[in-house]
Amino acid sequence: MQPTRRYWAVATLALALAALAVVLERPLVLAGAALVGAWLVAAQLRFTWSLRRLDAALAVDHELVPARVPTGTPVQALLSVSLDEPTDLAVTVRADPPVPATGSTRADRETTIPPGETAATVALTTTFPVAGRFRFDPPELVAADRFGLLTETVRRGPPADLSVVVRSPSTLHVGEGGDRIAATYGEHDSGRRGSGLEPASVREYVAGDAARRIDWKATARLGRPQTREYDTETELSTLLLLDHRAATGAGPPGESKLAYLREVALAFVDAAAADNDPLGCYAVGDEGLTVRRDPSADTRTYHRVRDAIETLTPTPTTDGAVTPAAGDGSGGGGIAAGSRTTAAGDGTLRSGGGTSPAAARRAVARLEDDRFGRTLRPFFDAQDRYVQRVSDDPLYRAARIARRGGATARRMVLLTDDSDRAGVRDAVRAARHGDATVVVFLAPTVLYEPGGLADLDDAYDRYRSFETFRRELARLDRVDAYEVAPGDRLAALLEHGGTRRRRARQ
Amino acid sequence: MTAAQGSRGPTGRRWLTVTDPRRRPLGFVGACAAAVAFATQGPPVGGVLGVAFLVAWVVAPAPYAVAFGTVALAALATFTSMAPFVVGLAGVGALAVLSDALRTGDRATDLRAVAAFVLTAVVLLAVVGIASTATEATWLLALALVAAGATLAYGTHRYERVTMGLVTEDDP
Repeated sequence: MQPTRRYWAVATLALALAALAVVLERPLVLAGAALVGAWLVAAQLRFTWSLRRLDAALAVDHELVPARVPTGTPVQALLSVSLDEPTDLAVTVRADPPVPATGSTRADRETTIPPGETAATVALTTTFPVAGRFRFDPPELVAADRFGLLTETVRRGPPADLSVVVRSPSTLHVGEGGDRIAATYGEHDSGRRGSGLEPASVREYVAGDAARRIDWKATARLGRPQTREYDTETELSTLLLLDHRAATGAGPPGESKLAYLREVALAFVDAAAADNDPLGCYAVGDEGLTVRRDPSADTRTYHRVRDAIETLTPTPTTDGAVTPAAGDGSGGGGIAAGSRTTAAGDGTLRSGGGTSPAAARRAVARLEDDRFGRTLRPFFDAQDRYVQRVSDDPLYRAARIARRGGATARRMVLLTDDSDRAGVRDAVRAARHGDATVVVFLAPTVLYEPGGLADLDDAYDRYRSFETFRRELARLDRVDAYEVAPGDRLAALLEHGGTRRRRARQ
Repeated sequence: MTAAQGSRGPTGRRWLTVTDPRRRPLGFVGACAAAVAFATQGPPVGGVLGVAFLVAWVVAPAPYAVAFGTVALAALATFTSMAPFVVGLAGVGALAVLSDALRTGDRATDLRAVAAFVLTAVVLLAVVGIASTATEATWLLALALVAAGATLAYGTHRYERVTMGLVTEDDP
């Protein structure tokens, strides 16, 4: 119990009487001090008994509606307190939202149970500007005695958990050239045979096979000993590399490139958690790595990766704003203007350097020291700058670090956009190692730019350029590449493309 | 007797002051008994102090009224010899006034609170009485009383913390 100033005033009164008795040498005054002191103790006991009765008669209901919301969406915390019998205490009920909650005042958060009443309700509406998991602590009950001498604060009732997620896109399309992919994320063929539960194939018996693996029915059918093989159950270790550089901020609020890429990344998290597969996550901003979690299959890692992905925002540009659209491969601007990729007339793509670093080095080595060689050498010198650019490219650097940090990962999932195609190509190549596969999810810039579909002919051409780039990546060994786009905008663009082709045939 | 002014407590109720004496018969009887005890010490001083005590009971919180009565009684005793009957009557009156101030209308709890008050008062007075058999120094008697009162108050505080489940390893 917490004494109030009034309690201390009465206690001081008792002490003053005792002091007066000493000063006046009048033991009679001590009797007054004893009575006042006894009265204070009795008031304390009375408060304790009332508090216990209140606690026994109390029922607290604490609920959040809804329990999972996007950022910025109002959440209603419903807090109802009821008593089996009226109490002689003055009771204040106070909801306790977490710190990031906004939009409520202290007065909104509390209510009192009037004397003689047995119920009170708090309906608190708050919003959360940031994503994450939050907990409304059990509500506080502040009880005060009718004399104003004592108060007590207790927490009763259950906590309420809230999951705030970033605003997610409504029509997510993941596919190739406008076609959706049907496979669910996370399912995989182990490619290995051995012991397991899923029958894979039957083959002829060879010396050394265990007798218990002989398939007697197949042996009887084919007349020769046959052995049944099973798919080996393996775990697929996955490393997510999520790009959240300024260029991924292009798009309307909640429907930016990053928002769509995030949905894909979260699907991988869910799949990994469901299959108990190891999962890691690296995130790269304009200045370098912002998240680094190496693959692990424990529940805490899944939660941390999910939290990290949900709270990522596009890196602000130097002027503090998020780049609305960094431009696609056929445009300019963005964070790596020097590495722009151009769409050649024949549909192939060439990076600003025109060739890979390795090819450039080989070409320089082959040049002879004649006039022809001296004339060409300065052009190949440009590859020095290219090498410098590559090493400065955050995505490329992140891919190399991720390859080392996630060396155990059999699959790296790269989620980025096409604003820096040369950089993406370099990053994909850097990500490949051993027998690991790379899955690339690309957000075509043309489908995210505000007004990007204003000129449908131009937009379709840019989408074709993107599709060519995607296919180029997909042709790389052990690389799959998919597009991640707003379904409605892509459908509109493809419909226009179909119309244009039909018109061209006529 | 008219309604008295009093400070408003956190619950909005006037704190321990008597807004209508007819609603507090126990306190009224106790205050009258104490006033009669004063008056028996002879007019005009005894009578005046008795009336002053009644007024204090009406306008001030009960512990303050009792404190005033105690000091007044001690002052009166310096001028006149006081019969034990008078001191006993004043003491019973003070007990009644303070008991009445513990009531809130919840009969069961009121009875327990009054019983606790009387028992605690008896214990504290017994401490003083026992101490007085060992020493005649008033300051030692006062020290024994304060120590006993503080122990009881703190013990009650701990009792409340434990019974409400508010004692944890981090917050003992």
